[in-house]
Amino acid sequence: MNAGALKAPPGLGALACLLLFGFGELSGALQGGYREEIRQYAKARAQAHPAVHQLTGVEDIDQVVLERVADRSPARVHTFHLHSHGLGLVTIILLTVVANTGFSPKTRTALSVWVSLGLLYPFGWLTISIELPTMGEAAAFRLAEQCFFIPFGGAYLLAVGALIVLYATDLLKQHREPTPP
Amino acid sequence: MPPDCKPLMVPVLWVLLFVGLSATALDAHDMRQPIPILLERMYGVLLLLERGKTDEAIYLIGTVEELLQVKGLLGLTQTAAKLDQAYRTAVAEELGVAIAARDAARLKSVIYSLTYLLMLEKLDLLAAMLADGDVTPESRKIVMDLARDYFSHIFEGTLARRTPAQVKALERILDRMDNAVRLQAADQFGQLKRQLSQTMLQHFGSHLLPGLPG
Repeated sequence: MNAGALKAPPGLGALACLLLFGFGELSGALQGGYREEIRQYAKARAQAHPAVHQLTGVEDIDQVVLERVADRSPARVHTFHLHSHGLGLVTIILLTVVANTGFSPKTRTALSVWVSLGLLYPFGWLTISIELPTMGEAAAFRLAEQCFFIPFGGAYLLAVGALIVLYATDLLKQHREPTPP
Repeated sequence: MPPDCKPLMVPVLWVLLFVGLSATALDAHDMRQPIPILLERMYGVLLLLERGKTDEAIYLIGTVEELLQVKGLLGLTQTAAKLDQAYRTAVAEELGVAIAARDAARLKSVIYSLTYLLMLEKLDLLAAMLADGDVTPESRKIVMDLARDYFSHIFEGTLARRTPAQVKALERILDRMDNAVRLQAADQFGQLKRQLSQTMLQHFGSHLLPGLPG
């Protein structure tokens, strides 16, 4: 990597990071401005699915169960808000690192696409938040796991692993090559 | 302070802090679940009655009714009527009589009796839940915790100083019930439930209305 002339990350990758940032901001604004509405909406939807939440028909018990859903649903929006900001930031750094490596253009593009796919991972938290009142927490988590956490979270982990290995290999190669006189 | 005492100061302060914190933890009636509005207000009513503020207690009962109805929940009278129907008691009627007569002692008995019935309602439901394999451990825990919270907040919260031995005895039974729920031991739970209600009627009989189910 040449520190003197740092290359910008690919435009599409940067745009994807900004989009995730935007979604994160939007979710933050929503949970800040409409927290009570989100809680009530989650509660009402959970109430429509008594079997899922094992509602008993005894008012004080059901209130505790529904309050728990009403607390956890916005809490997952908050997790999405945090992860989308964090991942957007980390990904733009990774894309910049990739853009500045000495890898072939094909490898750089493949790595950039691979890393950018990981940007979809935080949407798993949003899925849990949306589906928790109707499916229950465990089923909503399984859905998020199948659709987002395993494919995109896994892809991200592997991409970071591959980048580390390739970067280290490249460094070693540079180190072994004799410096021109 | 003698200079040779100084090295002892820090460990002594730490020990005092630890003892102080432990004492607070042992004294506190920790609630295991969010406190239902009804429970919170019943406790408030009891505290006012204990201080001889009967009029304020009756006013608070009125505000509880309004608040719960606004939230689409059953009020104190409706809850009493529902429990009366389930357990063939007359708590709702007693509540009306106690309010009309501004009778603090009777009102206290109504609140304790209502709490006892609310606990019994949870424990009866839990007995049915333990027999149902589809009920998740988390759902069972919520019901047990709530039954325990009613005891802790109302009985322990107001009677622990006057009758500490009786409160401790009931806490031990509740601990064993907690354990039976965790182990899903339905038979053991049933026995403990009977033991708890009988012990409560025996120990707190003077605070409860007559004719409550055991």
